[in-house]
Amino acid sequence: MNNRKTVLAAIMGSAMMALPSAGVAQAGPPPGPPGSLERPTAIPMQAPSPNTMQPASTALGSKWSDVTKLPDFFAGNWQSVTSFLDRELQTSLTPKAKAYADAFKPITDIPFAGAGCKTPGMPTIQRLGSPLKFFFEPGMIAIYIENSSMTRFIKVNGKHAARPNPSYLGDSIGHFEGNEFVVESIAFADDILFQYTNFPGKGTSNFVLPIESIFGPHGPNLRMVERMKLLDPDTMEITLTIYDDTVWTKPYVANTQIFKRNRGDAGIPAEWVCGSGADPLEFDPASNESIMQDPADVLKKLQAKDAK
Amino acid sequence: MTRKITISGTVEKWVWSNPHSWLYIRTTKPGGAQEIWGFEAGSAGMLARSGWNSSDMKTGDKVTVTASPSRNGRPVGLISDVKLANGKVLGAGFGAPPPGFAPGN
Repeated sequence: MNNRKTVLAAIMGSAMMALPSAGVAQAGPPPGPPGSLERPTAIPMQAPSPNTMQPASTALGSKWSDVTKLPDFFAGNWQSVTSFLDRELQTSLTPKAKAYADAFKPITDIPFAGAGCKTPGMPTIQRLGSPLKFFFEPGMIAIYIENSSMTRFIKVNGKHAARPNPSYLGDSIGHFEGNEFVVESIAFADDILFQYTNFPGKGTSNFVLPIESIFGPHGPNLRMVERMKLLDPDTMEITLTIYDDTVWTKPYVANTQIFKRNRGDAGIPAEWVCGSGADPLEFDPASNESIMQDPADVLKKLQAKDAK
Repeated sequence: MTRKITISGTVEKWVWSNPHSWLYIRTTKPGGAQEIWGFEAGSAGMLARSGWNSSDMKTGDKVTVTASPSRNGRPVGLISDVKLANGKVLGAGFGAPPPGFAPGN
């Protein structure tokens, strides 16, 4: 038991050593008695990332008192009432992207077709219909996205990380231009769901289906710029321009998204956890599509799980 | 998507979940054979916002489901509404739009 405690203490100590601690000398631990658990005398530590929050900024959104001056994005939550995929995309594809699009076969499922209900990432995740909830602190606006239970953290009046790691929501900075919240995002994961265009003659209705659209890889310098503003107290508009010169010959202006505000109990977002096993559609990595199982078989599995 | 079917049966399993909830019912076909149907509803959060609750249905309850059937002929459908034994109807399974919003805008 004592040995286990010693090992645990050693692990905890090592973990604490790995934490950046301003003002603490980088010396090794004090020498222990002879025979004590040996630890390296110099723990290599990475230099902490530079702070990109700019707390000294005086621009709107940098102080607690600014919350009274900001447009009210914060009460309740926002539910998209527009298609999560774009219709009537007119921007010309680059030759490389066009070749990819010409060879693309329709996907027959929703963008959660990935194993484990994997997020489609930006911008689709924000448009899927479940609400967004905005939060504020000086220098930060966070947007909780009910689909996926993911949260965007947007540095207000801040800078991008010096070496941002790829992510599904991107590295985001924002600032206010009048009543518009302008957000720029970079550093996206390679496998976000990225719509190039639609099949000829398809995707013309108000709600575009995944089977009508063509998706493909984005380039390394993909950048998204959103402009968010209130059209009235209960309506928010988000415009989006996507910059990716490996896909389009000029910046792509996405369909404008409209969100309606839910208040009261409906304004409280829910959690989002997948994995119930209740869906008869089962993702098959070999074919990259979901296969419909017999509902009776799915029910048997669910009941067997309950019986355990 | 526009074709609708109505099926009555007994709840075998009601799974309140994400990305979508699922209702499994046992029904009796005209010849007497029994069949299990799976019906897809909205996400848990969207259903809650539309007035549904995880406790609305439990195993053994009698329900009548109106749904859009799967195109592949399997006993699977997308729920339009569910009529409970007490007469209550649960509708707008993918989430009613917020008040004041007219569908189709």
